Amino acid sequence: MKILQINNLTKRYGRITAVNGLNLDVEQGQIYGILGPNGSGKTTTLGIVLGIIGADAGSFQWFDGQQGSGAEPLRQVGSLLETPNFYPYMNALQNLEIVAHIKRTTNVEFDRLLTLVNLAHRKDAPFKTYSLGMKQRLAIAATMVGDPSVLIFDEPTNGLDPTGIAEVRETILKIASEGKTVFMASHILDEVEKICSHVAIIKNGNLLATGEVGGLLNKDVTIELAAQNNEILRGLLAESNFVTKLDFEHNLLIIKVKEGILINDVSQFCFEKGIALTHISERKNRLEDEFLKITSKN
Amino acid sequence: MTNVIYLLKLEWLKVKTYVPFLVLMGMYALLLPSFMSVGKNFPIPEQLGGVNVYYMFPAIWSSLAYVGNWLAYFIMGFVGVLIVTNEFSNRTLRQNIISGISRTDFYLSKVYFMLLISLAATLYYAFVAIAFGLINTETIFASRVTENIDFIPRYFLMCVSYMSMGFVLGVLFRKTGIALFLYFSYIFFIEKIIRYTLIRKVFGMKAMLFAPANATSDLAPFPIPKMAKSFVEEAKFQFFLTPLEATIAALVFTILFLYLAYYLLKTKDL
Repeated sequence: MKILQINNLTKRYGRITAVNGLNLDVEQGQIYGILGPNGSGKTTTLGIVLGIIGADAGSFQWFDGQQGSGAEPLRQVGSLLETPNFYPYMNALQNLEIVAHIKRTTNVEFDRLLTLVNLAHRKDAPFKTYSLGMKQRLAIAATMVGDPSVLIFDEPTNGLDPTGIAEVRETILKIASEGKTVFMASHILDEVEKICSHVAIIKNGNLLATGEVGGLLNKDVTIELAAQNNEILRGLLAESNFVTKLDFEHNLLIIKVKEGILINDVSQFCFEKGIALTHISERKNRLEDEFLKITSKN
Repeated sequence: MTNVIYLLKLEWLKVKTYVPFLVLMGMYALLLPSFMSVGKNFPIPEQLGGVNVYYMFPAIWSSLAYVGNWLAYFIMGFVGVLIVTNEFSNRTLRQNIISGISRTDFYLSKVYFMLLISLAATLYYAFVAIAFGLINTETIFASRVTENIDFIPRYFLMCVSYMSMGFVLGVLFRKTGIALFLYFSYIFFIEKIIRYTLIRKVFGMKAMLFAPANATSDLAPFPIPKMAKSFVEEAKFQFFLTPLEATIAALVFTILFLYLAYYLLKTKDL
């Protein structure tokens, strides 16, 4: 089942086109990330599919239309958009009760949810007394009210300290491992790379690339190495039959090798040729490089 | 009907711990009878019937409605502004929509709530009026008690009308401070300036009375004693709209404001 289908979505703010003819399909069970720099239209896209922003053109559909249209399907979706928004004078429990009422769900185990996000000890304190991290954790608890099958997160780790970031990422992965679909926006490549199974890269409202996170990465292996005398090493490698590309980068030789050649093959080769390497390591092709390549082309 | 109760319950969850709302409601309950009692000290000469007349049936309906008019202007309008600007400033309107309530239902929850509050305020007005009347009227005739009870539905409309004025300003400006300031200053002087300059010059004396705040206010006007009334009639000058005119005008403006609020909530980005 398609969880969310976005067709040709366009939103303009005056002369600026925030989202430009966007097409996306989110399938059940995916952890789908929209990746793009700030102001690329991520939040606008999420705002449109969540009903708070009107699109100028295009359409979207939740759950293949099986859960109705308008507000109804959103009751099956748990969302955290930008900042956590709650009634400041109410405590955690009262705020979650409102969410449950709107989602028309009963028998919510509020205590279990609050324990899950480590807020049980503060559940009677008003929301306005919470720290940012606590507010964010309450927002995550709110997304799980009614046990929705789809979760939406917009910049979920924004403004959190490293511990908070790690906690949130772990929580998302845990949610996903239960077979839920996650649709998230982020400008942090590392985050998308670590969490998501699928990614759409957008810039200035345009979709630049989409696919599996692994699929967007280049499969070539890059190895960096150095020796006492880099010139001799360079000559040696240039004559070998497995190096496809050879560069210098600050006292390091950067080589790309043929498919199937591993780092220990290279090490072995140098050793046999009588060169002791002072440094050798494999460079992972990071989404960051691909991202920069993709975005700079446009 | 289930949807009405469902939406009213949602509003109740939102306001039951909201101190400003509770304080405003408490103020209304406390001040309506208090202000009425304070009026007893007004030195109205015996020749004009004395002050006690205003506390007897049927005049009590009119005099208490006039006191309630001032309170409703402050309190009902305040509540009308707060129940919506609160949702904008805390960004909970966004969160409500994202959680899965339709914009129409969100709007309806506010309208039903305003109707409920107005109904409660009106029932309380009726209760206080009857209490004052029973205490102060020496010989009670049923016909005198019920003579002016057409004030009850007009009082209800008055509350709804003030609230919807505050509400539409809240939806329009979203910020509590700005909306409140505009609400109070609009009724206090902006509308009067427009009436006395523009409307009077262009449309004449009578048309000047058909402005939203003035029409609402005229639903429960200053209780003019009978003698003064004949004097005014002789002068061929109309201070107030007749009850029917005021009712129709206030109803039309209220529907207009509520529709404008609906349109804005339905179509604007949140």
